[in-house]
Amino acid sequence: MTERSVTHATFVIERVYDATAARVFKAWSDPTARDRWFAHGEGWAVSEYKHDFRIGGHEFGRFSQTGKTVYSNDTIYQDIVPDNRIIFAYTMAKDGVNISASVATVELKPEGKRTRLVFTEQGAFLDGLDTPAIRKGGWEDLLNGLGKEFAPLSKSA
Amino acid sequence: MTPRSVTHATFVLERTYDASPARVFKAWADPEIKARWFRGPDEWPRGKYELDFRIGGRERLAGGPAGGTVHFYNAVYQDIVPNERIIIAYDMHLDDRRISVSLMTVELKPDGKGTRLVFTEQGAFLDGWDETAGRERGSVGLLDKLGRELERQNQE
Repeated sequence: MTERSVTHATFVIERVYDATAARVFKAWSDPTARDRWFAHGEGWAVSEYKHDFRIGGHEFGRFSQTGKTVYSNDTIYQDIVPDNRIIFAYTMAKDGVNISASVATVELKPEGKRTRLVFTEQGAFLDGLDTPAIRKGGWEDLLNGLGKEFAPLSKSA
Repeated sequence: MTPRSVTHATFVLERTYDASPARVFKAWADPEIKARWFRGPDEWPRGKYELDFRIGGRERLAGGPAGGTVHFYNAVYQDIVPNERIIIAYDMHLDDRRISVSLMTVELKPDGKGTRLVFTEQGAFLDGWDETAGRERGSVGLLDKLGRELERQNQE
């Protein structure tokens, strides 16, 4: 029998992107852009993602690094304020067993011509199958990948 | 235009009930039992309530003072381990304003013949419409109502 445990944790990641808040928001709302930096962002062997970016919208994705262990993601959008804020609840599962449940807040704050993104995750990490540190590292990589969406403009600007 | 802000906060409440984990779990899982204690202040008219207790299932409660602001609770079940754990993501609305998005974890741990319930709320409180202290008071009220329901069952 699984020994049940819950580790509750909150972590915050901040990035400043060389793009307007509208452009950063669009990288979350546009399925093509989000496929690039999010669904396929880590270059895994199995990666599929169904987008549904609207309040109440339900997204589902599957990811696998090796083709063996499959991670899946269920997301529901709880709040969307265009160019300003996105809040979603999501669970992650490993081979169908829940490893976490979280609420994530993405805030976009203009700073001159740039945008500060503040990502706050409030998570419940389950049964020792996942940790806040691993999750934070995953999001740091993804948010670095999001930054590459804006790199060409900053070079030509 | 509404000034936008988010305040993130976490609080934890603990209760020990004179009932087995299975009976406490059932008070959350059974829509008829949950409707008895999961409600606003006693003076509020009974609102519309729906519960589909399974992972991915929805729960909704609308209520409020007669003729006053409508308080709407809109939830989706994220994790369920029978007799041990329930995790709910929910948002609260006052009329048409979304005032918070939260993750609620309920852990049930055997404690002698009774159960220790650990309630953890991790919330994003929006645009200054809500504050943590008020949510904590509301949650204390709910856990007290749950206690009265379990006590009532003990008398039967």
